[in-house]
Amino acid sequence: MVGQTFLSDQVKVLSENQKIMNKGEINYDLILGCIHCGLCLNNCPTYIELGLEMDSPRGRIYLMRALSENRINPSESLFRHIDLCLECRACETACPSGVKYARLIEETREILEPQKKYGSFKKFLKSLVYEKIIPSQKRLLALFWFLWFYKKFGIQWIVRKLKILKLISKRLYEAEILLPDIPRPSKRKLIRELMKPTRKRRYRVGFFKGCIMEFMFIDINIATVNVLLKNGCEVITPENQVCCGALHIHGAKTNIAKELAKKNIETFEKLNLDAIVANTAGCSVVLKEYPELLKDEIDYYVRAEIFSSKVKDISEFLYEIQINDKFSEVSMRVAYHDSCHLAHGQGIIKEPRELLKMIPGLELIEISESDLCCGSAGIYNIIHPEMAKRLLKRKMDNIHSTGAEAVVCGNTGCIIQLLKGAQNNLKVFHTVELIDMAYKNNKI
Amino acid sequence: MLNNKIIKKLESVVGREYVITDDNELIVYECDGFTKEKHKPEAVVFPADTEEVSEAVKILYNEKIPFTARGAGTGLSGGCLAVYGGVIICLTRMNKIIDIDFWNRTAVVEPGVINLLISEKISKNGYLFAPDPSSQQVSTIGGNVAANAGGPHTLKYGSTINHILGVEVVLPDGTIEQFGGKIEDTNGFDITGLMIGSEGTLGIITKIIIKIIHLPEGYETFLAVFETMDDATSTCSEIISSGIIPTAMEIIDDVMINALEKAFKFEFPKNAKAVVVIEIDGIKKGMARIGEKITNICTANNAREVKTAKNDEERDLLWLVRKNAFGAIGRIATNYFTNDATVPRTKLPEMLKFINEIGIKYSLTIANTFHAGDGNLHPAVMYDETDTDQVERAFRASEEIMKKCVESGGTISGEHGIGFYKKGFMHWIFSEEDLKFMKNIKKIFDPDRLCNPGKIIE
Amino acid sequence: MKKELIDIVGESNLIDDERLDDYLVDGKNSKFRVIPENIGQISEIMKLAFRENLKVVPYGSGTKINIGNIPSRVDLLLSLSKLNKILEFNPDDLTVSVETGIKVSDFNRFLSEKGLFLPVDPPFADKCTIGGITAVDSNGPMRLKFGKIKDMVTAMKIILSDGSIVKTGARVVKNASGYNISRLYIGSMGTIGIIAEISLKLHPFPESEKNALLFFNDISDFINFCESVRDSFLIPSYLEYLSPSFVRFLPKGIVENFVKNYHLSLIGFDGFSETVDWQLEQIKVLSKKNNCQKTFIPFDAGNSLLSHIRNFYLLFADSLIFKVSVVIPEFKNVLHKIKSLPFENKFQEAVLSHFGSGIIYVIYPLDNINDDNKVIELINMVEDIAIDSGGNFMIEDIPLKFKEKVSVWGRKNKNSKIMKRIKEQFDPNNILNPGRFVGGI
Repeated sequence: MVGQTFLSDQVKVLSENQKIMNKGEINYDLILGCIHCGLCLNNCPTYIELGLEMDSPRGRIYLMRALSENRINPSESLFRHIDLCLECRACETACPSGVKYARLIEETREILEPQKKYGSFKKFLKSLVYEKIIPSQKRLLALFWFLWFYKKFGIQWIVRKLKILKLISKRLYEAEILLPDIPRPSKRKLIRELMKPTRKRRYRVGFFKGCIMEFMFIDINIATVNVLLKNGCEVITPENQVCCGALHIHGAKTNIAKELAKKNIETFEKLNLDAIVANTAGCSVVLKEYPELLKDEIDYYVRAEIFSSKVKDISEFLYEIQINDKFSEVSMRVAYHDSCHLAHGQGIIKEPRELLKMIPGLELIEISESDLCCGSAGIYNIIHPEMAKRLLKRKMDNIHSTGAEAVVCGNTGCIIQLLKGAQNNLKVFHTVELIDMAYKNNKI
Repeated sequence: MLNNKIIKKLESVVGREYVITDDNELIVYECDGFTKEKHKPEAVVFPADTEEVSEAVKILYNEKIPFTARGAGTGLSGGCLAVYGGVIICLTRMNKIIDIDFWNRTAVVEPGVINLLISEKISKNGYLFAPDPSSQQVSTIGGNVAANAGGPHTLKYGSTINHILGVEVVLPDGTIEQFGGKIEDTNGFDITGLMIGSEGTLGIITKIIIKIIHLPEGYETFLAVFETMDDATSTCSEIISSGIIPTAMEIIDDVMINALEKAFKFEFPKNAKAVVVIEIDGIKKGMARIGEKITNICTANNAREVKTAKNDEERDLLWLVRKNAFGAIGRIATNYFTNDATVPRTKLPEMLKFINEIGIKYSLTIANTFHAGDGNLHPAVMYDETDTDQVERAFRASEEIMKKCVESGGTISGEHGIGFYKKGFMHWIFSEEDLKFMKNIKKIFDPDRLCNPGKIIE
Repeated sequence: MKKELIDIVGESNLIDDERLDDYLVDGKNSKFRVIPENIGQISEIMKLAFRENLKVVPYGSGTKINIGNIPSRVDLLLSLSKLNKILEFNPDDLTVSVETGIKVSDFNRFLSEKGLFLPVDPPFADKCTIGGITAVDSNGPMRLKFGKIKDMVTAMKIILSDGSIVKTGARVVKNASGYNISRLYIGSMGTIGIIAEISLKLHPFPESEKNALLFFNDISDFINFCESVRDSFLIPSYLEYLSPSFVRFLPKGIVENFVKNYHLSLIGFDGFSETVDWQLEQIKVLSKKNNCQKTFIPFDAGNSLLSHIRNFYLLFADSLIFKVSVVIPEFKNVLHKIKSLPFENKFQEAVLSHFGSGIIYVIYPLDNINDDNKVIELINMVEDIAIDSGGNFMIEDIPLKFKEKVSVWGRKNKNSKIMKRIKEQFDPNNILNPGRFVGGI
């Protein structure tokens, strides 16, 4: 019978595949969670832009599987497709089977990292940023003082005019363009380690200030603390907290990320907090996943679970505690952009919208493809400027076409990116800034 | 064989960056939603328009190299596998909605347009593209046309074939032909109708004229909960025979409810053996009476409860859950195997009992989520591909179910198509003469057997 | 040859020459006329015809036999009138399989006992057969809501020119198994095979059917009215347009008071009674809004008028009937162009349209017309108007003496190469209805 032989042929093919299957270091069971239905495809920014299966979540998982089964060898093309992923996790939102894509891509990058050939300058730069600067508060401070001077005293003007950076590195040149105005680094001192609310204390909250936030967007941090205080929170901002490790995880430097995680857990766990609040979605998502990161560290796993259970994104926290709604009017037409790490990473979609809707005079506008990545994705816009630009253009078209006066979101990376794309006086805010504004009766 | 010279030629047609020949990249094109068989193409090209498709096809035609069109690759019967190698012509770049004409209720689209995007684009004007395969958020209209895709709402609105007015096709020799048009009545053979469901074996569709329909004034969506599958299937059968044709009527069984609950936390009633989702739409006036009739039939068939979606949000969530059902199988199994055999609706109770027996016979879990209103079954036979014995049992189980459907007066595919997977079963429903008849159709269009060879009847 | 035919169908199933005139095909005599009783006999006949190169014309009840070009030769007229059985009826499943010689009226009478019906309303429904309307793809006003016969056919059994019997589709309501060859045969005018059995999807008979008659001053008002219907949630089963000149041909007593040149529209609804009544109420509102001069809502003589619309051919003996299909925005334009044809009132056209389906019937009564060349000129001009507006054109009815001089399918044909290949594949000896179809097929 035809049907019969046809089927048994297939069985044979499969069992042969079985034999050559050699489980690599990527979690093979997680790979098998993907049943190849393809429902993720149209949620993936790179697939939407390129229409290439290799640049889709399903395709990348297929590549990982082929790699695990030794059906393919690492190659430039493989690196390219794995690296082009923004890790926006929109596919995780779409996946009905709950495939842990982000973990898979991180593991894959970690495995592929040693096999990549970097130039020595690039290698040096990478280790400088990941291993030396970001983990150290002092070095970061120094860097931002430098950048502040650079902006403030016209050096930037000269550099840009002469296109000096373009001679050194195209990427550095692209990165420089992204550089927003930097507040004076000393402004960070406005947030003291312990700040008490004027009225009755309802919660004791730890504030995770974010390593870059503190220098680039100190105003958002100040707004966050203000809003927390207005809601009866005692805010503790430990001085010795460190970077959450997000950049290291994305940059295939998990070991450093683990050390950073341990440091943060140690810092916050002794403070007897009701919640640990972060205002950058890229941080809160990683903080919430510390147990995953430290799953093999016996000494830390349980502590990580306790730590992470307390982590809240600012909008999530304010929504849960039923925000004090003594707002004054903020009349503005505002478009909301779903930051990937908020919407896809943490499923926080409704909360910020509900908060914003409570502000009198504020008109909240839904944009199309609201939850499609803006191209920022950590330092993606520096490493893959081409794709980042395409996605930014798409995002800005969607925003501008609504005629909104401002766009609001809950992630620093997005803010940097959106500032770059904003035209016609479009303002860019963090959700918490608008809430702060409503408390301050600060009409603009 | 594809050599460098031919690749150069293809590159000169579509541009260098739109031809893939790297082995590590080609591997992702070796299968679609049907993963049991894998055939790696020798190259993938991404044309931008009809002319590029035509030029590429001409090159391949002259060199006698097989080619296969592909969209999003969500097909469930291996319709876009490069069985004999050759070139995959991927149409994802051809994703423009060219024209929307509300007066005539038509639109002209390229094949790479995502099904759902069409409805999203026209919904604010009060229109909708009716065919809604569960993959509609990703699958392309070209793929839908090739497979004559269905979906839950085909019960009232019909399959893709009932919504296509015309197609532009690049024939296997590279010539471009337009069949049909915005006007439904055209002189001559209805070649448009023949093209729909031909699974890319008669040519490559490069433009499609679709019908769009007015959104109904209202919807009413019911969720009826049953203690036994028999009651659920009898209910569906009875609703149809009572003269009500709902817009959609879907059954979800307990295995699938479990998977969906894990994925969406929809809060389906606990311990139910099956739920039936019934939707009616149209003019609000009079809908209450239809709703009442439906509720009465459910209750008469021992429904534990009949719930109604309170608002659009609840309705949308219910459909989201239903449409993601197959995707959610990954929650409970590593692999599954689904077919879409269709039986006369009155045979549903009998078939579901049979499927249950098959599950026991082969000791396999089988989940059922299906278009009960159409008699279109979707038994998902689950297995673990690392267990060779299980794989074989799953194949057999699936095969036996299909065979039983045929014996009950049904057919082996209602909406997924035959593709590569089911071609070996075609002789169950067609005689040698019938199959020769189909082969002759193929011969008219593609005498050299270059266009998606090895599918349906080959 | 006759003996061989008698061997196949029996002597009583041969129609003798005395009744020849009842079976003329476009005035052509046939050598033999047979009435096979089953598929096996058709197959045997076709084998014989294939061998002996007999040109075969399949025949239902003859109501559509004048559609298409004059066949080049008629050797054997093959009547399907005895293949009129219902093969399989599943009322609970809303499906049925029948032999194609069954009359549409008989068929619907049978279905109505179970509260079902086949929603096609072709002309001459009391006489025509399922096979006939399928072969010529005949439809009526109701196609607006229910679609065409092609939307209802699920499976077919076909006898090919060499006598082989093949099957397409499946007897279920949803099917994606193999090529949709049924669609190729619907409207193929019997040129690539003889359709002997058909499986169909059925509909429950509506609880209520009502319609409304509306009088408009001009076409623009009518079109504006249609536009507001389009933008509403109404679901008309048909929406007909009757030009003032068409109305004049209707028998007296159906539409009162047509002294003034009103443009008429008949719009119908079916379904649950409250739904139908609600829609008629809406029509009252919409017609008022769009400058409607006079209304009958509901229209009591609606069924009678609808029947005259369906069978309008009976009102126009010896006429030239064009079927022009255009996209709706071209409707007014086309009518205007036709009105302005430069014949100085030599020809007076009447217009009927299944508006919404884009079908316009342009009718020219030809009594008192002696100038043959002018008629040909008119035909060409109407074709040009249709084609220039991106539409489709065919002549549905035309007196024989003109038919000899034109192709009823128009002068230009699309896809002729691929169509020829189809014909050659399935009828290599060109014995099936030769010369009737598009491009000489």
